[in-house]
Amino acid sequence: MLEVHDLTKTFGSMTAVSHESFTIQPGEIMGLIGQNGAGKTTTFRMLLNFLTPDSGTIMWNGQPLTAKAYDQIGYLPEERGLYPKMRVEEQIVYFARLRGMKTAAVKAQIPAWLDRFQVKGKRTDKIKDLSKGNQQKVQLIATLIHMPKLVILDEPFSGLDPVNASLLQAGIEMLRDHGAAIIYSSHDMGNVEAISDHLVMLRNGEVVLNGTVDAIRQSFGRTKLFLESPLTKQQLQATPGVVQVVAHGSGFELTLSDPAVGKTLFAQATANGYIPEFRQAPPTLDEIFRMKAGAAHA
Amino acid sequence: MPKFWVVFSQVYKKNLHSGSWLFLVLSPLVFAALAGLMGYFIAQNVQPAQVAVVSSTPALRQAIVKTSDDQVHFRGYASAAKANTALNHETLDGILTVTTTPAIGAHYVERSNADQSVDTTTLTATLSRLKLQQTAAQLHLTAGQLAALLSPAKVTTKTVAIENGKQVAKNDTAAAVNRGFAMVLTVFIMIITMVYGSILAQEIATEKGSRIMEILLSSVSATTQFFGKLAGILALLVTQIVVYVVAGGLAWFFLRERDFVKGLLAQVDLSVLASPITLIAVLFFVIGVMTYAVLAALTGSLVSNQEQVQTAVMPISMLGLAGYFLAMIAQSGDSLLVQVASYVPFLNITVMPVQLALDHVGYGAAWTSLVIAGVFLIGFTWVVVGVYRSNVLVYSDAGFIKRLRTSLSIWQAERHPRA
Repeated sequence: MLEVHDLTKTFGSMTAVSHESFTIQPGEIMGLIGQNGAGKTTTFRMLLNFLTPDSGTIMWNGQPLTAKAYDQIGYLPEERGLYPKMRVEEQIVYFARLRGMKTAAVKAQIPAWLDRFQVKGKRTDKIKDLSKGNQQKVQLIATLIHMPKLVILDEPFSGLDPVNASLLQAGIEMLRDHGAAIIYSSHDMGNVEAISDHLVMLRNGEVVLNGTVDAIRQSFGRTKLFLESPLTKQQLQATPGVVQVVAHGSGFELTLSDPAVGKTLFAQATANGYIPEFRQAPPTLDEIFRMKAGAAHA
Repeated sequence: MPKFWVVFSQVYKKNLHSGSWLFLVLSPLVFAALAGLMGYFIAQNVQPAQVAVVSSTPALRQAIVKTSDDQVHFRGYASAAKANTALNHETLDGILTVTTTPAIGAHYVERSNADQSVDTTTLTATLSRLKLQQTAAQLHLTAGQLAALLSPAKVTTKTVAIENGKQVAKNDTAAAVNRGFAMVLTVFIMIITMVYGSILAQEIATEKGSRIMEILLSSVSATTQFFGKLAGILALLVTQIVVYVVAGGLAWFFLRERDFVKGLLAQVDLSVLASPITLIAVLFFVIGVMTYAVLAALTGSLVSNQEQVQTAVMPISMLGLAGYFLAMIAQSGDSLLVQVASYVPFLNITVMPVQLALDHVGYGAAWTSLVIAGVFLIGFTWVVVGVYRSNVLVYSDAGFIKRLRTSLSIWQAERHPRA
């Protein structure tokens, strides 16, 4: 279990992370979201001991997270790097040995991993001869092959096409099923919503959201309404409690100040019977992200 | 296997297979072998020049024929006609016509396309000797009188070094050997420190530029990684030296009976190699290689991207060349600049051994400089290990010095017991 408690880091007069706390259980995936400069990478660097927090603690299974735990960590940096002149197998073996694996054990497992990520290329190919996508897959294999118990992925989905993104997602879920605690950052709220058990959002170094994806969304209430009915835009706008009306094709997307307004609108819309669409939902993660990020400038 | 050895073997094996390292190690061997072969074949093909001696005096002819050596082979001819026929058939390279009246003199005719041209000064010397004997005989001089007449005035020389205000005698042949030794040493130290410094700087700069460093530092502590790399590079150097020792040993085994090798070795007094100078030079060499390697790790880790890799090598080349030129200046004489440089870290590594070999300084000064170099190496390594760790976070397009300052300030802010 990873426990981050009250972490603060400043660079001169700039506060990069302020009183950050979260917990990741084994078998749990946590998404760390936030705009560029929100403090995500600084958080990872403190977890990895590249930076020392000004205050606060990082505990791994009840112990401070130090070099002793390095073999249990799998880390994928935001900017990927491999040795261009090394062969695929040599590259994976080297990184895995640095995580304490035996050469024979790594070599035995490489075929299964190349298969799992559908790497197009032989294990004797040089890294520079692989396509960018395949290089990224090799990097992922090198990050995960030692079956880390704490997986730290900085923007793992960036640059991946949808097929490769789903392969990565499957890989992450496989490690979760083996009991790994996983933390990753992403700008793509679709991915975050799909695989995160838990979410932390940073804004200017402060935690502004912390909880399960569902709980966070529900905490905003069902303030979004997707409606296709005989009611006109003017009629909708005139209804008290409707903040915003945006036309989408033949329907409208409404933002409500109070979820209870939904009942009034349902009654009005169905006054003459059947309507094709009435869906009242909490805001999407993407909308919450924009809302929270935008609040910084308010 | 401890991670130190994983890093060590990775650096060692990767470079061992690299073309540039193999070229570095093998090219001097190939050049030496080629030079040796060329020298051998040239020596095989050299035949003495065939020269006819034409003289009406048989005794004189015989006397000249007796002076034949590796360079000139004289054949006696009583008549010029026979000699000219032989010359026309190109079986002779030249004709030396010797006259005895009024005194011994000669006229030499050489084929323009002679296989082997004859140096006329050797002909002159041979004839002068004969003329001297003839004149001495005419003047009725005894052998002793002739010897007394010819013996030159004696000038003896002695080389002294000034140590603590006193003159200390030095062997002047040793001084000549020392000079050569110092020259070879300077070039050797410069090449080795620069080449291995560059290999390490490129190695680290590539990792930093391609962001591999972040993965490495999340697997292995910076200190372990740093010393693993350093040891890997030093092991490469040791391998290179072992290759040369083995190659030298084999060459010695097969060539020691050859005449030209024997002749060469007879001219060189190798006793200087057994002196304390060698020990001090070796210590400077070891400390020098390590100091430059640590510098290389520093400059390499300051790189932000692949394009800056060359800038990581530049400070090493510049310091290496500065040390080399100062050592060259030292060889042309003692000066204040050189005296100061022989105590300055990075520069003393090449300058001090030369100063010592040339007797510009005594052993006391050399040991002092060696201690300075050693203490500097320890302190420098300590700082660089710390900076190396914080450098992983410094990505900037600013100049080298600015990046170094940023890195130092992070290091200072980050100093803590977890390193």
